[in-house]
Amino acid sequence: MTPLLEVGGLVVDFGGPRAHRAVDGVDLALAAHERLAIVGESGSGKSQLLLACVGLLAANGRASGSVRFGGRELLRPADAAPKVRGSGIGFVFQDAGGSLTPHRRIGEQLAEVALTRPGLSAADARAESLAMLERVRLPDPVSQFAKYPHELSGGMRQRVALALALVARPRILFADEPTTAIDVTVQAEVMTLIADLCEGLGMALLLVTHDLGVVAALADRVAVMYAGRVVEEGSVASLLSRPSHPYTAGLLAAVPALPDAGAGELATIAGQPPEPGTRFPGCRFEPRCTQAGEPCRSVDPPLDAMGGARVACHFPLHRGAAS
Amino acid sequence: MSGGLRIRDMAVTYRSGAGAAPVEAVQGVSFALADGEILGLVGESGCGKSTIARAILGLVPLARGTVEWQGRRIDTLPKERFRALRKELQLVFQDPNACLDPRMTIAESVAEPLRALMPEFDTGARAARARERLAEVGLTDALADRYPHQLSGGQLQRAVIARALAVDPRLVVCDEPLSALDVSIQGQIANLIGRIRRERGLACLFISHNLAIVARLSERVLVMYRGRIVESAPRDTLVASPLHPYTRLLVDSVPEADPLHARRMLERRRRASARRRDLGSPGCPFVARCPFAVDRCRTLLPPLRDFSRGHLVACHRADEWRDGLPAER
Amino acid sequence: MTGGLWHEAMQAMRHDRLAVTCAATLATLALAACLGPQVLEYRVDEIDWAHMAVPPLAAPGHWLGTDRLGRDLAVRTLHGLRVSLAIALAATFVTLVIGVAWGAFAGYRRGRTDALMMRFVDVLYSLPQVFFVIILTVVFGRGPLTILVAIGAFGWLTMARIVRGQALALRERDFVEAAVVGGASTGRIVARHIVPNLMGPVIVYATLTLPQVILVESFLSFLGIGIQEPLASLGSLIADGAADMETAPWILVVPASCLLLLVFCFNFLGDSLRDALDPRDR
Repeated sequence: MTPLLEVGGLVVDFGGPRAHRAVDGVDLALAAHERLAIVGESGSGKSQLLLACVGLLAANGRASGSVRFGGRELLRPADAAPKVRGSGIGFVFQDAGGSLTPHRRIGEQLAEVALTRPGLSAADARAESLAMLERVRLPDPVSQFAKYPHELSGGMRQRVALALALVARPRILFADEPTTAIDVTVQAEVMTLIADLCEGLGMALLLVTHDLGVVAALADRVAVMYAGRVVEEGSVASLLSRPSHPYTAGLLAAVPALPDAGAGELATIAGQPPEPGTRFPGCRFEPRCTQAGEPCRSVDPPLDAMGGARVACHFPLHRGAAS
Repeated sequence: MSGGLRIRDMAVTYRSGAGAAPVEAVQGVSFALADGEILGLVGESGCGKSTIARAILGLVPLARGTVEWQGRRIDTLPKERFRALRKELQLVFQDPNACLDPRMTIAESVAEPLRALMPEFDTGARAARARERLAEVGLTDALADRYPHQLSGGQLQRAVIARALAVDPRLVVCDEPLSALDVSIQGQIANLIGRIRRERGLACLFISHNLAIVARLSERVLVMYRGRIVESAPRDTLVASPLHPYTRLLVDSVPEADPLHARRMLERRRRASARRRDLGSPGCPFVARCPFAVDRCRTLLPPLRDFSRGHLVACHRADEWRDGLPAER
Repeated sequence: MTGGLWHEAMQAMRHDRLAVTCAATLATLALAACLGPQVLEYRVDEIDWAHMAVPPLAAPGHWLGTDRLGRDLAVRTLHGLRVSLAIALAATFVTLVIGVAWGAFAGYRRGRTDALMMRFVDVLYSLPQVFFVIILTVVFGRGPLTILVAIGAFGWLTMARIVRGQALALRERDFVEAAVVGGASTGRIVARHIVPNLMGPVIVYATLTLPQVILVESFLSFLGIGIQEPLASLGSLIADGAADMETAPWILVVPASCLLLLVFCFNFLGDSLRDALDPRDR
């Protein structure tokens, strides 16, 4: 069964005065209806990975390797990726409200995206747009249709942005930090909405986030990125309960939980994420790793399969993932 | 109490645009912070917590109420007299990338408050003191001569803390100091703040939307919702048995890395925030989202009452659940 | 003002070949303007009776020809360049100092101070510049100082507006609030935090103002209001040349080309500087 999305050896370079490599060889696969989360902190390259797949890199960015969607290569030729946006892959940005064009009405923007589906008439597009606004639980969709983005509240704009991403019935939804800019108590609504939409529209989900709580709630599988590489990948259930890579373990420990008995210091990972473009002779995480040994300084550990998961570490915490 | 900070019935209004109705960002907030105490203030965006920080530091005027420091009223002081106070009251900002002048080196930024607030130091003494503070927060000399864009988020926030400490203040208000940082770095900075506070015996008002962090660092916690304090309790009591439904919502919203638990919590939170009807009713501000709301809640604003030893709640039904909030229906 | 970001901007510009060429050209022109008249054979008002209105390279020593009074065109052009550049630099400097101080202060203070200061700017803006210049010339006589005052008196207005806009945006930034919390006075904040952070767009605007000033001065001199004999500016030279355009075109072409080159280089350099200072590439 070929995966719906296949990323092979993806490398993303940025030129200019601060030239660096943001993504340094990533392999991923996403099956239909599957939900994969990519977790990482600043400098991990997770957002650039997403943008590279759909051809939305900045002008000085170059992607090489392979990204195949339904068997078709997206990185070459230059117009392959734009064709797939809308009806193939839907994209929700971090500042969702900001991704709406300010001087055009909501309805127009939705209809425009809807029409990227082949064989749809203008009337159909309008109907589809209205239906999608209802699906994202926007109150009173008919009257919102004629409004401009600034007339809506932040939360409503977020929903419209979601509708925009989905109105052409894509097969995968890409979401870049969908919960970061919103309140903690509203996050639940948005997450449930995304989960329901994926379920209802039969879509796969590729989600980028730094929040492990979001991963736990939404994803089936998770890939952890550090300094441009995937360091661990596996099912959410096993990875979050028994992480194999020291970085994953560190991240999990660092998630602040309510103190059950008095105060205590917060767990942390010493040092800081490396500057994009730093070169490492061995493992990238070695400077901050509490388990580092001799090979770690000189040999870059490859991403190896281990049970149902993959880990890039010379001294993984568990050998063989529990299923 | 003569020492420390005391806020009485503070109200602050904003005018969001020309001709728009004024918005009451803070409505009748009162609390006290003793010398050397660390008090946590938790709430979501727009609840007014950052406004309180600015009002204390004299950056926004009060519409009503008083701010007292060491027993003296400070909110009505003329600018010049207030400036002398800035030596004792300092602020750590949320976004370290934004609150450091991009055209000044780290060392220059840290030394800057000394110019106005400690004029007895000359340039050399200021520079030396700046480096001392930078070392205290764990930044090396080499980093001191760099520009903000050359440092990482965690390093920048350390510099911001060093700047706040430059004048040896007695009270530091930390306004969301961890929100702009990576998760693995948040712990470092939180621990740093905790350690410095202990070592220097500083009073600290720690403001955040993240209840877990606030609870870890503070001895007492205030919960704010829409401009009002809805609950105030010692840390352990608040976490173990919150009495206000909003506090419990916040407790439930603490991110869980356990998938099973996470999905259950998700459903509960979703139900809570999905209930949203009329805003602007005269009663409790939380009534639209509260699973326990009754008629009285819609019409009457619940006052912040002393429930038991140091535990204050603003809820009409708090007496009903002395043993903790019941499960939602 | 501290060097770090400027250093990076200079590094960035080094790669832009056209910018480097323009900078080199300007440097050469400036050097020629300063030293040229000393080095060349003829003096600026020296009349060579034997070679009147001679085309370039036709007579020995007169590389660019002579005008109808037999004066060496090369020397006169370089001299004119010197005068034009001096006035342009002085006027731009005055514009910068007054405009930045005015705009930064008004933008930072906001409220009534800002309103008063900017209404003043608006009033001056609505005065017809040429009319004003003529009055000044009548009162103070013709000469470089009059031109300088006339141009400077109006030049700072636009600068003040631009700076005020930048200052209004800057004052909302967190680091300005941090300076207030650190006890800094208004003067200190404006001088140390506001002004250095808006110098990028200001410098760029200044490099684009320079050619404008040159053109205005040239125009005024062309009209006969500005620089007069025995001094020469590029404008007055062009005026002279225009009279003999059909019989001895080089008298016009030489100073006009010089002006063209000057203006082009400044404009292009300004554009390149703006791109290099753009923080988005960071």
